[in-house]
Amino acid sequence: MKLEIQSQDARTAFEPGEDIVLVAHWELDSTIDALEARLVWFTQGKGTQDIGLAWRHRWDRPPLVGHEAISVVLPEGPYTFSGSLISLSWRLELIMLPGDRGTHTQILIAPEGREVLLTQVE
Amino acid sequence: MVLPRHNRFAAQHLDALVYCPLNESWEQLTSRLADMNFRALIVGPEGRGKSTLLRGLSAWWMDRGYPAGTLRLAWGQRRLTLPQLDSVEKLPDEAILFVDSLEQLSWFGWRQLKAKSNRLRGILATSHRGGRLPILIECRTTLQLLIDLVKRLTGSADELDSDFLRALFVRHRGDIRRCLRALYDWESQRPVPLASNGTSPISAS
Repeated sequence: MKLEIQSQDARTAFEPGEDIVLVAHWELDSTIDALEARLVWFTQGKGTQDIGLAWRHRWDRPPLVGHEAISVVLPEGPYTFSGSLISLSWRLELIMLPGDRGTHTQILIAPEGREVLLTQVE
Repeated sequence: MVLPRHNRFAAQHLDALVYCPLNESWEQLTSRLADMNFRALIVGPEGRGKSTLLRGLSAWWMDRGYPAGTLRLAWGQRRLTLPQLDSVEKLPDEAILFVDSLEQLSWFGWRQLKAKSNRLRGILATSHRGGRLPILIECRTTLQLLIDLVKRLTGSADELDSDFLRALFVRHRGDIRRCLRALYDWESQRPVPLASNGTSPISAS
């Protein structure tokens, strides 16, 4: 089994609101109900973890081997950032349904493609 | 500084820790729970692993293919909310109800929950004190437990010296949760080199 998802140009840092093309590639061992590509933000740090779904696209009854490209407008926020208590990160997911097995690729969404560091004084 | 997403003492890593009984095996503990007809209390002060053990026993029960319900009572919550009562009523008879912080309920709130849960296979709860159900285990902590948990989180036996951990353990009076939160703060102050563009690396996983 092989699952991959990334931007077409293989970048991992993006501007908020940027129009990008995602490429999903899969080689499955057996048929499944669906594959779902998701764009998700989540927090990590000292407090309870939060998670939010910004976008998703579903392929029902996908073939065993597939390769799809799809255009996505990235959200304007929240930005990828870190403070002293939490970091907020984004990731692309390609998930097999039913269940939650899949793969993910961490990306960065922030002005100039740079993480906002709240503790950094410039 | 170490960013929160790279902090080895961040909540997502602490939540993944598995409870290890100090003086008995997991099998012995679950066997005793079955002998108690699945109606029991996990007691102990703050930060002794009660909720971690409750979560572990809930997972153990569901891994066996049985249904379970979970109630987490908020600080100062004297009675169950209507949605909580509704969720208990909807549980099948063979379910065990896992309740975190039972001590929050008033006498009336406990009587109400007890009446609603009588038909269930069992009820297992954490509490700061005994009295409402037979005690399955009194959770306690040791300095060695803190050292072991730090090793599990950092993957290193020697990075933090035992005197530092002993001082933390004494300062927080054995409250492991507070010790680990203090270690989060300690880790967050550690200097790490930044990448050339001024950012900290984000690793794709």
